[in-house]
Amino acid sequence: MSDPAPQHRLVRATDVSGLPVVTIDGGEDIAEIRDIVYDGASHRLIGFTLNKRGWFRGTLKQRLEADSVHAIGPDAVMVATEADLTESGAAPPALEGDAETYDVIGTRVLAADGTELGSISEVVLSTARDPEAVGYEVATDDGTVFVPISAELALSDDNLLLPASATDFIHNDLAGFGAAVMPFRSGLTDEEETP
Amino acid sequence: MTAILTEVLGRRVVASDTAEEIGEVKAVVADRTGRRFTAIHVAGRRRSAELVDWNDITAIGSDAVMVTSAGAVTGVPDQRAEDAVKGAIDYLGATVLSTDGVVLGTVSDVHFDEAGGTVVGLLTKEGRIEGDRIRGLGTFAAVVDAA
Repeated sequence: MSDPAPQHRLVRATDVSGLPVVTIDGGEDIAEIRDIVYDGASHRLIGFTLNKRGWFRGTLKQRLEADSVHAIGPDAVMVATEADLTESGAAPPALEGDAETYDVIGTRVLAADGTELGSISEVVLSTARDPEAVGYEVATDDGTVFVPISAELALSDDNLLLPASATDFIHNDLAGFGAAVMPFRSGLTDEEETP
Repeated sequence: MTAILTEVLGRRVVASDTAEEIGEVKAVVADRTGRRFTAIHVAGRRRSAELVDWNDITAIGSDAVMVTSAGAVTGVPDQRAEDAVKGAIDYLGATVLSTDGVVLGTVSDVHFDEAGGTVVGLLTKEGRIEGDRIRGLGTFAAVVDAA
């Protein structure tokens, strides 16, 4: 098996943009991911705005809530059925606005000892059912590193402060980060079996 | 008895009651779940597309597909059949996408049960996918359960 276990596979949020949204029950591409809507204050993925598919793609009124996603793969975002798209007006307020960017990009990242790592360049998402934000990619002077999102993260408009406990989970490659962070995260929450 | 789709395509379609040759198998129509064939698309006699419901097939022989009668031939009943007739939905060449959102390959042939039209396996260059993994077939992909 060349693919890592899906529950450990992570993606950069911007890599999800442009993926088709495909129904499992019908094999139809019903939309395309336009933008990722992310709440920086709570470090939470809310969902996605959508484009129509095809050459003349305009924006689609429906939204896709993170809770309605079956899985995010390298080739498609899967939903069970077309009804999993949320009609305009019924989506959470943050998804309704044209909130096109998550507001954390560019935020300075400081370690607990006061050293500056760099600045946030990407949000990293888990890809299994009910995807969520699990980390940030941080651009440093020596390339990029990945830091975990945890309840202890302190975020202001200016700085993201990493707790000392996060240090063990900092990796400079996404696969290694996923392997370290995902077991750690599943230990934090109630063990949830996904088929 | 099971059969392979590409071997059935092009076979003569003959009415059992009159021995009349109706045309040849141009394509098959699969339902939305992708697990069952519901009709065959018969071509050659008229300019407009003609279908025969799977229940009206009496035998799929090595030389001909036998159907109950020439009267079993119908027009295109719905959008699903229309998509199949036009080639918009076709197992052959369809992208196989897993429920994890991973492309697994392309369908090169379909193994099916003759009597009920049940799809028992999809053949791809990467290997065989059992029919009970199939979740849906549409214009974009054949979706199958992740292994």
